[in-house]
Amino acid sequence: MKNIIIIILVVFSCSAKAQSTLCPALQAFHGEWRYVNGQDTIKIYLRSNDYTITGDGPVTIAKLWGWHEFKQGNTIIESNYSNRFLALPTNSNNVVANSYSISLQMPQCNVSRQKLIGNIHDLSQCYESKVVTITFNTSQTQLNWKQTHPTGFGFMTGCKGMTLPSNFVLTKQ
Amino acid sequence: MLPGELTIIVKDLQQQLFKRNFIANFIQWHGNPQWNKAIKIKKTNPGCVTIAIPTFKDGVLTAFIAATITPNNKILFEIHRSSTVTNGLKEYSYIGINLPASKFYLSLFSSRKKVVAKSKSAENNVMEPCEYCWWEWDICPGGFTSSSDSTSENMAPGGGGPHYCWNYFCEIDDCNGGGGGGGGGGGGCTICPPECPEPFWYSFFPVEDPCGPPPPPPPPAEPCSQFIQFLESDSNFINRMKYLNSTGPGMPLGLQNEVGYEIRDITQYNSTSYIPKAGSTSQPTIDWDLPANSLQAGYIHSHYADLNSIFSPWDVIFFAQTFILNHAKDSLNLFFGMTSSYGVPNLMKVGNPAIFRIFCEKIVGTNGLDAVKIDKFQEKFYNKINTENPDTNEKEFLKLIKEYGAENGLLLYQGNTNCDKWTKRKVDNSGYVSSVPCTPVVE
Repeated sequence: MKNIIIIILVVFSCSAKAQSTLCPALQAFHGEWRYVNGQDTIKIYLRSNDYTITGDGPVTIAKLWGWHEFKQGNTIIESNYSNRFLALPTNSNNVVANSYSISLQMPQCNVSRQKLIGNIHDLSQCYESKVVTITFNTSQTQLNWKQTHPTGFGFMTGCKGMTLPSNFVLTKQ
Repeated sequence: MLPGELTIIVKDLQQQLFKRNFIANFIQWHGNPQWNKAIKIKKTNPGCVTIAIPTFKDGVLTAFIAATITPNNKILFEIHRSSTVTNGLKEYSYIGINLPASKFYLSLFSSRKKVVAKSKSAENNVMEPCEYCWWEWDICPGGFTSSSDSTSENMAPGGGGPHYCWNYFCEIDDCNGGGGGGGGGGGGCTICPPECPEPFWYSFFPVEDPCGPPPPPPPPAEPCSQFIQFLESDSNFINRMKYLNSTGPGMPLGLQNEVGYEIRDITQYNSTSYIPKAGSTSQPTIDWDLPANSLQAGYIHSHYADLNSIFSPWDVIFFAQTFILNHAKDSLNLFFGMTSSYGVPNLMKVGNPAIFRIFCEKIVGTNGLDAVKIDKFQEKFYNKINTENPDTNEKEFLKLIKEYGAENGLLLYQGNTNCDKWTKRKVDNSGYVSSVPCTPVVE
């Protein structure tokens, strides 16, 4: 019985740590967000933690990790949604490439700027990065998602398309 | 007619703005000073005169400049912004203008509501908490004589026309914010006014302490880069950069898309050596669309309004990919130039190619496509270099490069508005950014 309690406590403890202490404001974005327009459905799942980028000038940042699924009707265009409950890497040494698709930060952890920035990997376009700029409403229930190609996009891969729409509004589920 | 104190301030402010090549930047963010709305603030340092001048952009109050004339006739400037009040941020003040005081004066400038003028007897130095007193330059009240009127401080010079006076007003604010009104707190200096070498410069940085230690001496001179010397004398390059740095309707910095040139041969100007490029509207990017085996001398481009004052992480990543995949025509001198609405053009250039290669491998991998490394770099970049302060962005950019051990591998140059003078920038271990003087090299 004692062991069971300890295990439960450990699991609970690990679960509780899966959020950012550097920027607790990111907690409000955890969970599923959805956009529906006709046949198009985009689901995005976000979680945050404190993540140390190792190597030169190591730094710990407050990071929102994300996974997405894009469906048209019943056809899944692209998805890595099944990865959304994987343990979050706490430092860049244990990141598994392509295990997530979205990386976001809140500039200066300043909620009043109502902005998140980062990138998304386009799963159908050679995992090319797209620059993401999000503005959110004051109640933090809607994300106005804008994504653009970065400078030099497709230079290395030849993949110059963009699978998701360049602008859509996600609603918290 | 402006009061005498203000005339001195106008002249000094112009000199400060010119000195720092700061006019375009200042007007971009703050609009124009409204000199005729200036007021004289009572609560200032002993022996000083402080004039507050509001700035308006598109009819909206953005800030006020507090100019303090010290007993030795030195003028210290500080600026207090509406956005700072809105965001509850702290700005340094030589004269104790804290957040509530700043809020009060901003509301005064926006409404210009006048209260009953106080009598001379009220003009002692005893002020109630949250009491603000000031003078407005206006026509003297009826019955004014230079020797008897009790509501004036000084009189307009010269005869004829109406007399102008500093008319005295006071108001007690509601003490919102909890600070002492009109003075005290707010990060003021312990010994005021400070004898900072460049007070105007300091005052533009809320995080900088004007009473902090003086900046270190400039780094020793280095031999000038022959390539930079070439760019400074090459009219083709200068004219293209000046074009990219131009504002106004239809000009690159007046557009909502990026504009640039892919430069394949820096030694000549024609349609195959300078290839014009343009991004799509509201897309902070250019599709450089490089042919498979092309060689690049460099790139130059514009960041339209609202984009970063310095290179984006993707600019640096693309630059590194160009180098590591051997697309550089001259790997010793591959360069990337940019302009932005902040007015100061920047140029990054390969320094020591061996060191730069190591840096490239760290941020994009040996194949140029390492997604984890690319993500790491852009995350570190966005973590620090995404402020609305161009100097903070420059400092953090240099610090990031230094952290990667690439201080001598990737060099940053800052240009003048004419784009014919490029100065190497460097950050020291304490985070102080300075220009590196150089000694011209004769070929």
